[in-house]
Amino acid sequence: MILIVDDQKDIGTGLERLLRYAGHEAVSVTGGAEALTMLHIRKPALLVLDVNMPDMDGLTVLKTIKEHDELKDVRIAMYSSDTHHETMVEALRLGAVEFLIKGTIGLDKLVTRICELAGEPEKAG
Amino acid sequence: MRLADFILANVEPILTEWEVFARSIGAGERLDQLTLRDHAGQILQATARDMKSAQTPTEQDKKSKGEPQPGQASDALDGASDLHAIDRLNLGFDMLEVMSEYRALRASVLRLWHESAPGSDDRNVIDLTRFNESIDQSLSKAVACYTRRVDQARDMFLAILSHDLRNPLAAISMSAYVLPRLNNNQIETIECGLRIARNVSVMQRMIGDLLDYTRTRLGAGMPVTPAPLDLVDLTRGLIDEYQAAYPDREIRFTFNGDLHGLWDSDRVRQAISNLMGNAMQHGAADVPVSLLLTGEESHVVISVHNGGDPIPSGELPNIFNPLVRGSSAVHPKVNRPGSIGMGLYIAREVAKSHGGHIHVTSTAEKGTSFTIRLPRESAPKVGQPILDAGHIRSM
Repeated sequence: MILIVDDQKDIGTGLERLLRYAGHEAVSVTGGAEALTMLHIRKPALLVLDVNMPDMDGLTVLKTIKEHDELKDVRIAMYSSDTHHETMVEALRLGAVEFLIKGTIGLDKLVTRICELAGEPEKAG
Repeated sequence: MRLADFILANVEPILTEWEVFARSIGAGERLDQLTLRDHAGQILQATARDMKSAQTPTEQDKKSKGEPQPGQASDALDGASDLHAIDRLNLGFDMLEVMSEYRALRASVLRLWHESAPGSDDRNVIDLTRFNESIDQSLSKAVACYTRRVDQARDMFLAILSHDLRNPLAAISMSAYVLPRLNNNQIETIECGLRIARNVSVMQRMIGDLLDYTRTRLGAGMPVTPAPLDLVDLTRGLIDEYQAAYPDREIRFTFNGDLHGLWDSDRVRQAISNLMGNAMQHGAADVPVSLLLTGEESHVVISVHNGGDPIPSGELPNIFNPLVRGSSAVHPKVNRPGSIGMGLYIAREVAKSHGGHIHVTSTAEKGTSFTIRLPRESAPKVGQPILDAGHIRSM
């Protein structure tokens, strides 16, 4: 399962749908706190995480996950329109596996890369 | 008396004269705000001290070329000039107005000096030369500081704009990608269409805000088409929309007096909506947002209040200026969807274009209130379109 966290609901559901077409189970939520709750219920193969969010910013979510003994092995790819060099460096330093920038990567490439990072889809049943 | 001593002994009369002169050269309505004269006074005093400091012919030559002049007196003048430029930028002065102020300052000093009948001593020529050099140094420094600040703010503004446009663009792009793959699934097709329409509307609003900003900053003004309007009806509709968008928030609406008048319905709606959006975004979630309309004899007053942390007092003078407001931010701030952070600026321009004004109060005890006061009848105002067909053809 791929969990998408983006405060822009249309982006979360849009990406969710694209990943489903690619054969993955995908779920989207709109805030960091909701994502942390979801993680305790089920660990995803990959977490796709936005940076600028009103309730809890992506870097804080990332840090919280990486400091949590049971969650720290979750793979996290940032997906944001924040192009500040410091933000990208900080995300990678905190343990994100990749920083994907919104609007600069074609959707085919985006889906392919997210699927690669998530690994093989889980078999149904 | 030497000119430097004359300046130090007459700072207050010079500032008074300068203020009168500055108004007379039509530096604009913002000169009404010349209550903040501290930095101008500091420039005068720093100029006089700079004139009194010893100067070799080499130093004079360097100064005339605008090269850096290390030294306590020169540094103090540079510092005062920087502060003055920042102060004027924050007050909304443009570059021409900043330069006009210096022209007025120079003229005021020279006129008062001349009236004091200093005599025809050769030292007066030296003093006048030193004075002009110091003022030119201060002016160059202020212009450089002003330009640097505006450039920084513009870069940040463009970064915010590009950041905020990427989100709706990504959502549209995803929907366009999915649409041909839906295989006649009607519900998903409708959802995709709605998603595209919603995000197109978000982008239209952002671009509209940007055009409004550009139009008003270019001096063409905001076009206003007044027509009879019931402010209560207009506001009720807006509150319904906000309540639907924020179902967990409490919105209180009260009104009293006659709230009919001649205003541009779309513009007034835009201004109130911007204030409501601002209150929702920055107000404490557990404190109601209140909208109060008051009809007075010749004016109406629109007030939007929210609780929560107050606006820092240092930010209040710049709260309506989008370029200045965020210039210290390292990262673009998170705006509401569909907003590029110019809501308050546009609300102020709407008020101004109707012949009214807006003001803000914000304290920890009383919360934050934005109040627009509009004359009951506004005159039509035709703004110059900045992207009309002629412009586009010539591009």
